[in-house]
Amino acid sequence: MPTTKEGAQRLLEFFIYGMLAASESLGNPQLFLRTVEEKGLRKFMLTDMPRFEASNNATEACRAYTKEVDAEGLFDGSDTVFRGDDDEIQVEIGDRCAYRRICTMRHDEGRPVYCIRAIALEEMLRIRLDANFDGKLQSFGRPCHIRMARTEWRES
Amino acid sequence: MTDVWQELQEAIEELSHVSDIKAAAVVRRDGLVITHTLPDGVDPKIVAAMTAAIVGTSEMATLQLAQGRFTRAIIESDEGKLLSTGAGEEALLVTLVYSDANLGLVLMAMEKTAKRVEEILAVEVVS
Repeated sequence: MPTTKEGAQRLLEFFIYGMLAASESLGNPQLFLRTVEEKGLRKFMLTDMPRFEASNNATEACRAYTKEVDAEGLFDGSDTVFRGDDDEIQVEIGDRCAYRRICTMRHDEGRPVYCIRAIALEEMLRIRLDANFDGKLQSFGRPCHIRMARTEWRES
Repeated sequence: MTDVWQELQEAIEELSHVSDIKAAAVVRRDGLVITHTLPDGVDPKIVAAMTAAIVGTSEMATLQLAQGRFTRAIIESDEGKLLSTGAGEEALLVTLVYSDANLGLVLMAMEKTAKRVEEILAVEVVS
């Protein structure tokens, strides 16, 4: 176990940075991130987020998911704001994002920034609401702005 | 608004009717299935994820080896061939063909369908 909160955060950053770079060298970080989130959520959503109940409304489901993740101590969701409806969600993620340092490093290195939290929300919506949403990091900053829109694409 | 998924399904069904092609699929570059004509017993989700991985790695290999732009990946095996290529910025086209297939014919049909898929998805992005 990491002995401090800072140690746990550094361990997270070590693995996220390394895995993103490794997946990039293999050619498909989007596939990698989506698969990690899907497998992780399917395995841990019930045990690590026991009180999470997804509303049928996509924006409400994102709000409830973030609240539960926060309540379980996985990350601070207090600086995250959701606006929108069942078809389109505008997300603002502030300074307290657990992935901010990694995203900043990648941004400074001139590498693409992938919003891991947006990908997690997309996968949560796919699993819980059977809904396909495409997320786009519209601006990386303080706060980050992400737009998630329901897609016509559906799994056959 | 036209049903994008319906149009993609028609395109993929038409491709599947080309002789020598057993089945076909359109998948997203992040490994999700869009539509397919894969037979029972083949998991489309696994095919989609593997295709995305194959194309991603192949694109990276051509780049690293300074071989220009990636065109397609062909995987040959005892029972047939798996062909995958890009279909615009967001999608990939994959076909499963017989081992003795006329590849020229199949590749021509795939090229035509990939262009059609790209056009269909471009309309969706604009609308």
